Amino acid sequence: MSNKGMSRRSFLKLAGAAAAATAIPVGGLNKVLTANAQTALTVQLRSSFIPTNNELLTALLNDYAARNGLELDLSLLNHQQMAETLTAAAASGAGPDVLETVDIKPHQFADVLADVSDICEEIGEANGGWYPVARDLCVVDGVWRAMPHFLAAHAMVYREDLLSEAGYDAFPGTWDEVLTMGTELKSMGFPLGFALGHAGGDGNNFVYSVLWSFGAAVTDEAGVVNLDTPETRQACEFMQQLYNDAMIETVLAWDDSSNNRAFIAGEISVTNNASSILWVGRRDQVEFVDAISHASYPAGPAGLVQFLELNTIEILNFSESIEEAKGLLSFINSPEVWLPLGPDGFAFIYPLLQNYENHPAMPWNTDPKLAAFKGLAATGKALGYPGTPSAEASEVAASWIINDMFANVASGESIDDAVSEAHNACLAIYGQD
Amino acid sequence: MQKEMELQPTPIYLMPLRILGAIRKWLDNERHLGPIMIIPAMLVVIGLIAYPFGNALWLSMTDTQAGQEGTGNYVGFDNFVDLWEMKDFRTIIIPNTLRYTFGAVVLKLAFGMGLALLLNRPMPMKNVFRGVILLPWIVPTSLSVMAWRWMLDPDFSIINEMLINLEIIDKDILFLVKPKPALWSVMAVNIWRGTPFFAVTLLAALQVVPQEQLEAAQIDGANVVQRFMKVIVPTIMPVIVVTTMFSLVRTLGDVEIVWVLTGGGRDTHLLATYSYQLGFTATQLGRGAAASLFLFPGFLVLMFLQLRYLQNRDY
Amino acid sequence: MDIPLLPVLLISHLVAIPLGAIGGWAIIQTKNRDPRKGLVFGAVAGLLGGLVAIFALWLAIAYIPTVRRPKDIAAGIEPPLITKRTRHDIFMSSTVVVPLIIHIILLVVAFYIKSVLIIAVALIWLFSWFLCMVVGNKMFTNRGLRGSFGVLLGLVAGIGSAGGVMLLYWLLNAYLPGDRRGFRWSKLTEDAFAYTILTIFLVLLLFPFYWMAITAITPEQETTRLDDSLLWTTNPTFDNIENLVDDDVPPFRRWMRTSLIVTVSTTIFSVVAGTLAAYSLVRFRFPAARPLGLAMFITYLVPPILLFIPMMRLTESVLGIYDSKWALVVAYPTMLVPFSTWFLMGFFRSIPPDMEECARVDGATYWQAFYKVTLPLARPGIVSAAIFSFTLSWGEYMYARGLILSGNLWTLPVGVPNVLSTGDVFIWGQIMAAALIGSLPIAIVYGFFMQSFVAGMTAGAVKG
Repeated sequence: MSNKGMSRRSFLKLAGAAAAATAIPVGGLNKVLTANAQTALTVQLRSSFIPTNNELLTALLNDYAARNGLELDLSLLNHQQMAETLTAAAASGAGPDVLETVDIKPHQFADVLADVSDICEEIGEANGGWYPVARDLCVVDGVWRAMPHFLAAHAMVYREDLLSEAGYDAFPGTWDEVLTMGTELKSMGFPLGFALGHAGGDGNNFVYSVLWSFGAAVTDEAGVVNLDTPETRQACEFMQQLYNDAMIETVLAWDDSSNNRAFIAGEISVTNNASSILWVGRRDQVEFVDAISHASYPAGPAGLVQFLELNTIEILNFSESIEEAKGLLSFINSPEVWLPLGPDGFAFIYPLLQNYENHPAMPWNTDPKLAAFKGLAATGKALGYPGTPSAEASEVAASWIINDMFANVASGESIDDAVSEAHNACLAIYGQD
Repeated sequence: MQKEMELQPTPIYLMPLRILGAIRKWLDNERHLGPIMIIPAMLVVIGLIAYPFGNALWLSMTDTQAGQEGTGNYVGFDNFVDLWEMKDFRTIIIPNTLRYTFGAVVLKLAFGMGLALLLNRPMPMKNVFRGVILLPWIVPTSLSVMAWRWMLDPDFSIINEMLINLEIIDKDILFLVKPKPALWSVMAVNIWRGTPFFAVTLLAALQVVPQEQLEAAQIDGANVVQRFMKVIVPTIMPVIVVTTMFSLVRTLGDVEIVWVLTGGGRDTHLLATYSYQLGFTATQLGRGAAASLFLFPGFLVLMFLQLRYLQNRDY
Repeated sequence: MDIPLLPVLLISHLVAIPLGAIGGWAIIQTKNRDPRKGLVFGAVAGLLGGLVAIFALWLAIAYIPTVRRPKDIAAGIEPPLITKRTRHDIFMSSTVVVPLIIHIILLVVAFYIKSVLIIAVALIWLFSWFLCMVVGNKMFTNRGLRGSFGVLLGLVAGIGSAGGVMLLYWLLNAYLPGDRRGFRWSKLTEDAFAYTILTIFLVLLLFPFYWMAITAITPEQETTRLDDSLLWTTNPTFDNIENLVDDDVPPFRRWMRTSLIVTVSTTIFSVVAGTLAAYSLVRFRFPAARPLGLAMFITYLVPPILLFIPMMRLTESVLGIYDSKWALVVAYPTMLVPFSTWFLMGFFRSIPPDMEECARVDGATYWQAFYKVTLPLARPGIVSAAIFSFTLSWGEYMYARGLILSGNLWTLPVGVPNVLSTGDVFIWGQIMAAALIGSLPIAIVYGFFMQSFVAGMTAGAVKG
């Protein structure tokens, strides 16, 4: 009898456990658990390489949330993750309320992004206006789909000691001179290093700047694919020479972090980067820290056309608290945030509001080593140049077409093949094949 | 004893017990208990596997794009045709997938078998060895792949550094450039991760190889290779087949290693990673689903082969 | 003075190992007849082996830093100068004297307690390693030399001599001609071959973990200075681990918690469901049993990537749990349930039904026969299935990345590679520390259940 009783109990227990286990997911427990009196906001912003800057931003936003009765779940990620997140959120109609992306995502995802025209116009007016390049990036068919946040400012990073050893007092102003100098530096054992691998930050900054400086581009002004041109071939020829004569061989495999490591380890003399190399150099007190310097990008035959890595903040339109999110966005671009955050940001976070350019507390005005970053936002171009930003331009970048084209010619493929291959890939993306 | 209980009139407060008893009695029948015990598993299979799979079939025939209104229309087999007409798809992704899958599985089987045979020898601290070799397989892939990424770094690879110090090479090897070294590196990591699993399963199987047969074969003058082919392999064939099938399926659908090591990119894309990229980072859900379905014929073949095999030996 | 590296390595080995071998041989010869004689010989052999090790160590320390790699020669980097005086200093330092004494003591002890042999080898291993690393590296970095290769070499020579004695002793015991256990050259070569291959396998399989551990305790600035301390770090630190666990940014502890909750709940559910289904499919005859078994088998072969995109939509629009850990709780059983069922079906099939039938005859219900009789017998199989499920869901990446979008809610395997790499600056020390800590739970699980796991694999795999 006791035997049977036990078995019944055990059976019920087991069955109950199984039932409970199946019931949990179906019940949508998550929604029940997070339902709260306060308004919850899930926010993802781009992280800085400076830990204190991340902590400062977190503290400022948490403080804002506490004052306004928000329950803020903030995570700081890097740009690749955020692009993936936006895609997935758009696909599923769920995810964070607010997130930050790089480049021209607002155009690609306009359908799922909330209209933020009111706050953007307001913020722009109050702070000396947006840079036009930032405005173009966010305004889709006359509606602001995102708020410009900051420019991840890039410059040439070089070692003064090695350059002067090679006979250069200042960083040269054209790519041709860079090639000559690089050949000399490489023979000294300190080659140049520009990422030709799949590096979304440094790599894109480099390859698009070179392409555009040589007068070439993926499309013409009307958005018709026009990559297979003499200018592109000229850029490829230059890249082949630069790789063979002046660069470290490993650049073909570089990601965004490779040039930082190689520079700090003293293996290369010149690279393109945000200010993170100097920052790490000072943190770790590397022996040549005083010789690390920044210069603006060199010009090509078509002048200096620099690629800009622009960051925008979007509100997803499925969010249940769009108004609160807008409030938070306004706060992020208010002086309450910029005045403490900007000076601490080491010129990596460069506001896209014009009146900070000459603000005396900003790093590019206080630290002479960072002066090269000043004013980039007024002159640089965004993806899609010389046309307007578009979803297709974003996909060309995401498919690494230009990066691979240059990498192919660098590793010995014929220029004709590489260019026509890239051209065809672009045609396919633009649907013009 | 049960009869006695049923003969007595039941007071009302004992009714629940009676009902429970009736349920128990009803359950004590394999035609009832059997299906009931299977319910939780079937819920998963129908609701979470069959239904999504059907959904994938449907998606693959639509032009669904994430976040784009006005998509999700039926387009027939356009996605499949478009993919097939892509040059990269035919010349890079499909061959990569085949090379990766078969290359890695064959080598995993070979290494795993070798390791299993070695570990099957009498030796001190046998159990320690067995536990330790499992490490590559049990550690979360994305974490160990990060270690590999660091070890294969273009500038600071410890492997390059060692080879240079031993004067075997004089220039850094770029492990992660396209097309060949990158695919080889990815395969190497896959083999590194999968070999222990093969080794442990095959080692387990080796335990049941009858010693008498081995000794008899030895007395008959069979050499090592003959003994291996004639005695060991036939005995453990079922395990070899099952493990290889399992590994083929896993390797064919493997996303993590490529994704974390090279971030995709067309030089190392496999069908699975390409589908993941299309669906997850390029917003083209319909096309992504179609790309993943290109794997399906492969699975059908594998499934068919394994079923036939199992049927033959009284599955 | 340039000394090529490989010859030094070879010579020190060639000297150390035969010496050890002769000692070992002598000991065995004498031990059988006269224990006291054996003691003397043991001491002498140990002394000789130790001496050779010391010599090799000294040689290494003194000369190896003067080796130049082709890269250095090309760059015109001169080998560091080492004077006679420094060589003398090094030779007389405790680096050399202490291992000498240790060698002798351990060797003598080891010969008399045969079972301690292995332990002794391990001890010598560890001790000489530790000593070489700490003392050697300190010395070298102070003098600005590339020391690790010398240290490694000393280590290898030390092991070579000590290990040589041990190995030869063991080998001769095993293969001794005459009255001992039938010596066969074929067996000796076979063994030598087998152990060499096994060692290579082990090194290849485990090196990434070694490097993970070393990087985890290397200060961030030094991760790119491989030359200074190849295969080792000169300034070990626990900062990486502390920063990781203490800070809330990145939310490491939160990831860990999420991982645990998801893994444990899905494992329990899947194994329970799988056990019930497998038993029912194997033992009970009812309509549709066979097609259902087939369905289980087919779904077990369906790769997760096929279900990924629809799973995104399912968790969002039908269940409303997208972007939370519950989405994973739903997704993981799709991998685990068919596997557990299929695996346990094989296992249950291997258990003869006789005992259940006996229980039925004695009046037990079907459920009792399963619960009381078969289930305990199936425990190794169930534990194996649980471990397997635990491993799969603990390390899962694709669903965890795709179904959870908020960085704070991620599981450990997703959070670590995605958040600790801030694009421009990879915090390799922290990433590796996180990888190590993230591997711990699973290593613990295996440590406890390894025996069971292997047993379960045997029965399940062979019969399935």
